[in-house]
Amino acid sequence: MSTSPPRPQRTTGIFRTKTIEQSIAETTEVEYQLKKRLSALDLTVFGIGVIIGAGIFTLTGRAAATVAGPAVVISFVIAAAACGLAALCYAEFASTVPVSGSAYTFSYATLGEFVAWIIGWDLLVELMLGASVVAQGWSAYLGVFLGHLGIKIPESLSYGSSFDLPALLLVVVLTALVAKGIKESMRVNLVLVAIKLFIVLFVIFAGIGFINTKNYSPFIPPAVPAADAGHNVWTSPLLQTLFGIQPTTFGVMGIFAGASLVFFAYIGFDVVATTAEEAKNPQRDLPIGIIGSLIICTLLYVGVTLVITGMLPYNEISVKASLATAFESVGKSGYATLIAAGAVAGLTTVVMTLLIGASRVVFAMSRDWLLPKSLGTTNPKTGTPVKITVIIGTLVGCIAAFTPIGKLEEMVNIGTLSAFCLVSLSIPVLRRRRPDLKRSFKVPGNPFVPYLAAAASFYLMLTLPPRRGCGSSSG
Amino acid sequence: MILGLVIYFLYSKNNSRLAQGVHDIPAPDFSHPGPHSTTGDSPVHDS
Repeated sequence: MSTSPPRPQRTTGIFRTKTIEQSIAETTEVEYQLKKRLSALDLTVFGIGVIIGAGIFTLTGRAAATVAGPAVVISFVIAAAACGLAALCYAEFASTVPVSGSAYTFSYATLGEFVAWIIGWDLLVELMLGASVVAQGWSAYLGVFLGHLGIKIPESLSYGSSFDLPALLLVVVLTALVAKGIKESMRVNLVLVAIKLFIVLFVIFAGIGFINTKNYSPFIPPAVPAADAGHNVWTSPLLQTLFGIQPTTFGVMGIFAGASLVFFAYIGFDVVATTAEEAKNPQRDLPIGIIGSLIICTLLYVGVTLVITGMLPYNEISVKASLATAFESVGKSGYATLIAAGAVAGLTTVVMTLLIGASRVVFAMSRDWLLPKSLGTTNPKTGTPVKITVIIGTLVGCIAAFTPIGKLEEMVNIGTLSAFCLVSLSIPVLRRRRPDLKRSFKVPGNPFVPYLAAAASFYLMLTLPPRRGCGSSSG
Repeated sequence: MILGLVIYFLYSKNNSRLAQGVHDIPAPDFSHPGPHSTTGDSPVHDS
């Protein structure tokens, strides 16, 4: 596509932009140097580690039972396609600007310093709150898992009490690991993701034997008014509440409502871009990591969904512990222990990945001197920003241990969707402003695909209800 | 977020590398046809 001559970039005022050349040059400064040790496999595993949490064991069934029936499989594919649009934009940016900071860095190069500052804070709050919420979820699943083994955590120190000790310990251990080194963190991540994948695949293959194909009929259940399904103004999508649209569940619209619900199970691939600077071959490996992890997670979600909707009629699926209950219904209650173990392993990698992401965003802001520059200096031994990692770990640990923040997870999703919007809109801006840059990966169909990605993210923000447990920020 | 805005206008706006012009590397100027382009068209072709 031929375009008009690009405009020169702003160099003054709050909308001044930073050149890609300058961003890349700063990555070689000794005091801010991160070690380049991540391969395409590491990045893909990193992506899977953050995308798949406990949601695969619960959200899949909840979406089938409440909004879409067996057709929730289609919801997962639609949500993956919508997420894929944003993932393409992240992949192009990450391959063009292989610098830490993800959406913050991309915004600084295109939309200006003030927008970058806003999105940097947005990302930071999102990642830190996300890590705290997931750490508490981890503590809850640990209690369930140990309960299956006959071990009981004292109530005054467990999930739901005023001092959540397991959540605090998890954050302390993971902070130490993240500070020790990126490769060390990735080794632990690899082991935990392998355990998680083994359990997910085991569940899929074990469940295949219990599938009754009659449960797939009707594949798209007839639509019913949402009010009849127990929804009200606080639990219906904001868009429908604002415009007074009569909400329905199931039917064809239920598939799209299901897509909005399960979209949040895919969030997390964007965190891969925060480690751009630590990749050995970022131009090639980052697009592989971002898109590869999204494809693998889509296949796993579809597999688990097919199993759970095949094992039970959709209206008999438990909303809270869908997969464990499905196995109990076929006399395999022991699998609940395995599922709880999978959730514990799954959520551990999510917390670790979010801690890494948060530290790299602050690192990038500090290196740009938007935050005190001494904060971001890396430790020459570990090659990680130790000071930032410890500060973030302390804050996350305190929030997870002492505050009841579980209900804030919807806010996390809004923050992520804002970042998706900005990154998508930045693609045509950078194409126009810097046509000379080497782009080893390019979003096809520019500017339509980036605009579509931004529109999809904006639409999803409007589908968030005023109050809804719409799933974890990371699967 | 309000705290973030306050910090930006009180601290970051005047202290960032760009504000201080440290290691400033300008981007090539594409606003007119020059040595980068003989046609004025973008060298980027969308796939």
